[in-house]
Amino acid sequence: MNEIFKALSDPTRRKVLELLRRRPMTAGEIAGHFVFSKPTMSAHFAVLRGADLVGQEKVGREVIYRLKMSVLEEALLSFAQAVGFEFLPRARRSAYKGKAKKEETSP
Amino acid sequence: MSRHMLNALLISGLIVTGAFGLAYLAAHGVIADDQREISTRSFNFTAALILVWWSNLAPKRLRPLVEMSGDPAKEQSVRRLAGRAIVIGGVLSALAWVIAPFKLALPIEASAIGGALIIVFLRPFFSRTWHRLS
Repeated sequence: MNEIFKALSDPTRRKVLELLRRRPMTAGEIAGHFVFSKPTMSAHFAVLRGADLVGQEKVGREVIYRLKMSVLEEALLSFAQAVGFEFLPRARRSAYKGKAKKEETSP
Repeated sequence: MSRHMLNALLISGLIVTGAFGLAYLAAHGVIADDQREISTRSFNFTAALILVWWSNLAPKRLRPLVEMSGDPAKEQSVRRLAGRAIVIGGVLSALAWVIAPFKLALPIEASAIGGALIIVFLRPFFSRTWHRLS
């Protein structure tokens, strides 16, 4: 359960889950929606896989990601989306914002 | 046979056996008439909780993409809708068996779960209407 809360506490990972709610996507398609580097996105995917919220499958040369959330987990995601950052500790929020800013400015 | 199918068969077997068991015990006078209500309520409440647990996990059970003949996005949305609808139906019927008057509990359960199934089966119709309107 702790892994699920950890995965849902990050806005990037929540956005990934939101994208996967529409349809299964390749890693490249998902990464196209973000400005983060490949290793950062891979780390986010690893956390989501660790929490068993996404499933990955290799089809040909591509890795397809699919939503793998129970009804309760989806309800938690909706709750996290509605509450946003508010349920995270302040230190963690500022650390995330700093990291995201650094990623955006780096080439 | 897959693990999920085996689990489904096991759970449905338990529910059916439980129902027949209760009927058998009542017919042979093991369960007195005054205990009949409480045993029926507790059995149906448990069955509703099992249904909630089972349908909660339904969207998590993914079929391999290579085995799918249709659109994976559509299958995903059907699974999600079915999971949500049956979880809500199951919660309502569990509540009905705890709170509602004994005579009303079964009709409430049937309407809640029946309604959920109707929503799932009429999804293509709702989806087409929604696209036409938007």
